[in-house]
Amino acid sequence: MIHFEARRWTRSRRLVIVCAAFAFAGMSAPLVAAYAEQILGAVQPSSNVSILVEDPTWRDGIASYLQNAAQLSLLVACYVVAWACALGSDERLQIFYRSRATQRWHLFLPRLIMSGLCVCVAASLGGLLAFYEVMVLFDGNDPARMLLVLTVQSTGLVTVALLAGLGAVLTNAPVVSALTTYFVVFFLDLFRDVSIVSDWTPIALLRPEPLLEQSPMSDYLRPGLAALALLAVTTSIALTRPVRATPHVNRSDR
Amino acid sequence: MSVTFGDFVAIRGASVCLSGHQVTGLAGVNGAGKTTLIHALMGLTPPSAGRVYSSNGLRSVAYCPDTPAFEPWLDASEVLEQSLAVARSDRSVHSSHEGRAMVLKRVGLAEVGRRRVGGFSRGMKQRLGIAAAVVLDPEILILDEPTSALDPLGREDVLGLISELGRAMHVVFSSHLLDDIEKVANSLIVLDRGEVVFTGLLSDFVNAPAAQLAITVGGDVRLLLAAFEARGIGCSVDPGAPGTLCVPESLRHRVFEVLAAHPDQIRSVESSQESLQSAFVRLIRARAADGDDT
Repeated sequence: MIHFEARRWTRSRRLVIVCAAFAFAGMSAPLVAAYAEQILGAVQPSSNVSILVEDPTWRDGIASYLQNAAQLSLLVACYVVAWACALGSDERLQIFYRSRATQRWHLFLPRLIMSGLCVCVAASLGGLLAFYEVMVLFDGNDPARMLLVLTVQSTGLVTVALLAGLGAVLTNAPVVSALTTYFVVFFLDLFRDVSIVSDWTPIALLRPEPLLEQSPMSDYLRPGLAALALLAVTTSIALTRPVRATPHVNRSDR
Repeated sequence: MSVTFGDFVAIRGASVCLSGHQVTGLAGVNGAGKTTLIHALMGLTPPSAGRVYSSNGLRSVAYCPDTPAFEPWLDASEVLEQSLAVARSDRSVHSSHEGRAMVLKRVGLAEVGRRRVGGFSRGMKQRLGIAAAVVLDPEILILDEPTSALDPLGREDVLGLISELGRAMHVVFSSHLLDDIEKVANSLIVLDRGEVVFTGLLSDFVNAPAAQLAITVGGDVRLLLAAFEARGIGCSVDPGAPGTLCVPESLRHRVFEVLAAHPDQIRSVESSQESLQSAFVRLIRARAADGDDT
C-alpha cells in the first residue's frame, strides 16, 4: 500500500506543492532578514523618517525561516496532508476502499506514514535552503546549532501536519480538519511564552528560537513527549474503529 | 437483515442465502432497496438488525457499484493491483502481473491497461470496476447495475462475462433491465418496498400459474371457444390478436384433448411462457393492489 501512497504524492503533485511552500520560505526568509534595512529603507514614508535596524545576524536569518515555515508553509502542509489522508467526498471512491478494506489501519496507516515522510522531505528541503542562504549571507554562523534547530522544527511540522491528517481520517472533512488544526496551533502560538504551553505542547517544537540562544536541548524533551503521546492517542482512536458497519461472521463460527 | 433510516424502513427482515456457482438476479423497482440491501451486506450501511454469515468473512464477497470510481492518477493495471492491496488478497490467483493482465483482457480493457483511468469513459470505468472486483477472486461477486453505462455491444460482452463468471463463483447481478437478468440468471431475488418477495429459481418465477398456451385458430374462433367452455376450460381471445385464444397451460392435457377433436381449426399452438418482465410486473402490481386494499 505504501507505494500507492507514494504515487498519490508524486503523481497528483502534492509533494511538489508542499516542497514549493517550504522551499519558498527557505529561500525568501533569510534574504528578507539579511536585507531588512534596505527593504525598509526603500519603503520608508518620507526622507524625514529614518528606520533604524540592528545589523542582522545568522540567528535572525534562521528565526525568520522558522517563523515563515510555521505559518504559511505549515498551513499548506496541513491542507495537503488532510486531503491525502481523507477518503474524500466522492462516495463512489469511498465505496472502492470501504468495500475492500477489512482493517481501518491498513487503509489509513500508509497514508499517514507517507504524509509524514513527504512533509519531512519538504521541511528538510526548506530548512536546507535556509541553512545554505544563512551560511552564504551571514558571518559567525554556528552550523551545528542551526541544523539542530531546523531538525527540532521539522519534528514539530511533521507532528502538526499528521494531526491534521488524523483529523481528516476521523472526520473525512479535510478542509475543516486542516483549518482547525492550523488555528489551534496559531492560537496556542500566541501563548507560547506561558510555561504550560511551551512545556507541554508541540508548539515549542514549531518555534524553537530559544534553542538558537544556547538554551538546553532538554527543554524540548517534554514537548517532544507530548507530541508523541498526542499522536499515539489520536492514531489509536482514528485507526481502531471498525471499517465496516455490518457484522460478518465466519460460517464455521456460527 | 433490516435497515432503517430514521422512521423509514428501507429493508425489512430480508433473508437471502447465496451458495454455489451461479448467477442470481436481484430485481426490484426504483427505491425497492436493492442498493441498500447490497450496501448492508457489504457493511457499507449499518443494519438495524441482522448479520452476514460467510465462509471467509469479509474477503468472501467483492462488490462493483453501478458507477465505480478510482484514483485518477493510477492506470488500469495499477487499479487492479491497488484493489488487491487494499483487500490484502495477496493469495488471489490474479495477484501476479499476468493474472491482472488476464482479468483486464476478460473485460475488454487489455489495450488500455497502461492508460491513466482519469481519462476513462463511464463504460470503461464500469468494465474496470468489474475487473477490480473479479481480481479479488471472491466466492460471491455482487454487481450493481453492471450494464447501465454500456453500449449494446458492450452490454452483450458483459452479460457473456457474467455468465462465464457464474461458472466459477456466485454472481449477484442487480439490474433494472429484466431482459438482462433473464438472459444470464439462474435464480432470482425480487425486492419490493424493502421486502424480499421472491427468492428461488428464475424458471419457477416465470412459470408461475399465469403461464398460458396461445392457440392460433385457422377457422371460426367461436367454435373452439365453445368447445373449451363445454369442457370447463376458461379461455379468452387475445385482444391484440383476435384469431388467438389463450388458455391456462396448467390445463394442457384437457386443452389438447379439445384440440385433437378440432384439428382443422388449429394453425399453431405456442407455450406463451411468461417473460420475467411480465411476471415481475404482475407480482409487483398484485402486491400494490393488496397494499391498497389493506
